[in-house]
Amino acid sequence: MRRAFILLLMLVAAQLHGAELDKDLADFKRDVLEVNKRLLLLEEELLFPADTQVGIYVSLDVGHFFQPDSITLELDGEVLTSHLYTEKEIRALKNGAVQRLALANVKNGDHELTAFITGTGPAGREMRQGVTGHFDKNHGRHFVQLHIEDDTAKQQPRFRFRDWR
Amino acid sequence: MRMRGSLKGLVVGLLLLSSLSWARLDEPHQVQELAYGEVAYLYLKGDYFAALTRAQMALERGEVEIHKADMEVLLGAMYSAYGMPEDAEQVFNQLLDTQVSGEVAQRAWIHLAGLYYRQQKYQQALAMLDQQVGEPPAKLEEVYFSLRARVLMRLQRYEEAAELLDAFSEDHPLNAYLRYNLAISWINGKHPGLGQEWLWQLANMPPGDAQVNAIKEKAMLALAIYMLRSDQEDRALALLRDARLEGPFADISLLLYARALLIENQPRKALPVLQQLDTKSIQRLPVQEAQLAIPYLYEQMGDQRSARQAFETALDRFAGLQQYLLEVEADIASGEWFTAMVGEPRWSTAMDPVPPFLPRRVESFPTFYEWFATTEFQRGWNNYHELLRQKNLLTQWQEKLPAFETLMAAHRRKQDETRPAARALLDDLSQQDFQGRMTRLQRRYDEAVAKQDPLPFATDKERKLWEAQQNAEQRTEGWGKRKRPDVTAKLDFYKGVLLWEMQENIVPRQWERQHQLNEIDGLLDETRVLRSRVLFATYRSERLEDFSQELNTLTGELERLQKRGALLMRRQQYGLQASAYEQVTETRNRLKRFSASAHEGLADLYHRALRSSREREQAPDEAAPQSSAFPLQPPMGSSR
Repeated sequence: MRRAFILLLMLVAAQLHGAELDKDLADFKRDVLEVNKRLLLLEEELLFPADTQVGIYVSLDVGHFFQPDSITLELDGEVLTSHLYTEKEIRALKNGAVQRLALANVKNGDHELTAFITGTGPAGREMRQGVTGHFDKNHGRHFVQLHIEDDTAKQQPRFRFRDWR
Repeated sequence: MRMRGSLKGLVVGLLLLSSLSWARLDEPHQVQELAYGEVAYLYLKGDYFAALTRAQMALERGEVEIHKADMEVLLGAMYSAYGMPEDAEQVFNQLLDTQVSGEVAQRAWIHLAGLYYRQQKYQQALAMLDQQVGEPPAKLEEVYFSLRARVLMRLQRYEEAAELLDAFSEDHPLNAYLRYNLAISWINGKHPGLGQEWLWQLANMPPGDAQVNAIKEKAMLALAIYMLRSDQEDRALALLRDARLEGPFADISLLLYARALLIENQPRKALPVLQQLDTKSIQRLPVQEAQLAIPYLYEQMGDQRSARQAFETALDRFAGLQQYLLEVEADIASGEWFTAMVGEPRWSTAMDPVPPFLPRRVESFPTFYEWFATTEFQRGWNNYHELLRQKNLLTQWQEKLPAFETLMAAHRRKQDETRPAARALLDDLSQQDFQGRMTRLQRRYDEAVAKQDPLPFATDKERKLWEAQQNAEQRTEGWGKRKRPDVTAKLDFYKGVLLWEMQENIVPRQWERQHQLNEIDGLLDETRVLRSRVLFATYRSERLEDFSQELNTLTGELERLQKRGALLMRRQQYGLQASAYEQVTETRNRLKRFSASAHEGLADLYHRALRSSREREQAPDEAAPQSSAFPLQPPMGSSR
């Protein structure tokens, strides 16, 4: 009885397996991606409407003098988010990718951002750095970039906030 | 020998993909659009699903212009790596139908060729590389040549593949991998000598990371096998003496070493090697072979008693394993085996987005050891893992839906509260007719400028003086003949002076008024923007209705996808179970053959013992009576 069941199972599986299953899997992934995208768009519309949305991004150019370990971000004196970096994330940043650190809702007008960054500086020295910046929120989505760049003349990293245009 | 081959292939594939889609390293920033940078970040940190979704969002919302083509190449590459070849092909074909830069087109063609390679369409892949890509730019050389080398190897054009190896640096991980494959191809083909030489070089590479060490070990084993096959036993022996007794190739190394010793007629040295293997799990193939080899070895050494005991032990162990495999079969059929293998998947909230998903080391693990390393198993297992992740993702979304409803209700409440005030404000604005008033003012200004009429630009004081003068003129008109000529002249003089003063700086006055009108116009523009935003906000309730409908659709969609996912998971599970059953059947058939050999060996042993005993009985005077090496009753159930 058991053997018969197993044989039946094998036959069914063999029929359903292979190319057909691969195609069904690809179709399923496509549909899941589509639903995931629509849900994310809806979530963003509901949680962060364009008129109040501000996105804070981190980039590293090129990272010869600094490698981040963690970032704590404050918006108008309130901690917005903290992030610990993995090796892969650091590699991605060093390769020019841009990390979305946080999304938030703010009213129109002037706002203050402060980031506390820890990491490894020149000659492997541990560094802790604070950086403050302001942005003026108007209507529409607003993007601010925390840019960490190499200051080749001083052989030091330089941190600054800037509006992304 | 297949150990980890497929895994290595996957790793190499990923390496290629990542280097091709994102070839930049340690160069100044070139990302000019956030969305592209963000997708690249997700992609480079290995979160492919999130990267795919974000890329789709960015393209749908038109967030990329400068990097649109780059984004599409990345998207196609991710589709390809994510097991969605049709989507990848569509993206690349669409991209190549448009005007894109030469480098982007070359990257797309290489990806497309890579896709054909994965689909085993080697001729098409090669034709695409030769005809479409042509001479690759320096940035893409490595990727191009590695893909071309692999395609050529699949097409058994080894000489041409070998010529491409110079494109890689010696310490490049692909170099050793390609050299190994080429060496194996040569050994089995036209140039065994050259293959042996290359394997020797690979086996003697300095130790490196896990990949390099695995290739070293594989090269050494392949070399040993070749040497044993080609009558170079002494060299094989020397090579295998240094084999590592740990790791995935330890068993096969020990077995090969024992074989080499036996060929070299050194059974006493081979015995402890086989005995060492014998201490391991009988589920492993080399251990089963060792189990069968040991009694023959005793026999060869003339130790009949130990040979008989070893045969019996082998038969017992084979029978025990057969019994165990029957239980495994039952477990496979009932799904218990698969459940135990999967265990409790860990959905970590830690930094790594993809928790490792490996078959658990259940009791039957050694039976499937080699199968676990095959591409077939890895693909099925990874598919199952991916389905599990998708199911988890869908569940998370389903758990979030009530919160969406709450958010939507909050938005609706806020709308209901503010809408009446907003509507009243809009009505008020309409009644004020600011724009109409502004138009009229501008018209009056234009007329005054055209007529060079100074009065509209007069100051309050001048206006009062003008009015007083006009008054005086009217009053003097009423005096008739009593009006003195000098009064009229005086009034005309004052009027002239006033007009002259007003005309004197009329241009700055006009300019100032125009400036004021411009300011008002600017303010009206701002009001218009604000008005449109308020208007938009009052219609947000309609958008909320759209969101609500979208949410309902998505709720149904999520349920349907959950069901489809569960069905696909079952199908994938059945597929793996069917393959596992094949593995067990194969092992059981092998065990039957081994058991038959053991029975045969044991029977031969008894037969020889019996014959020598009879010979001694028939010629009692020729030699002194000797006791038999073991009792002459055959064991229960033994047969030829």
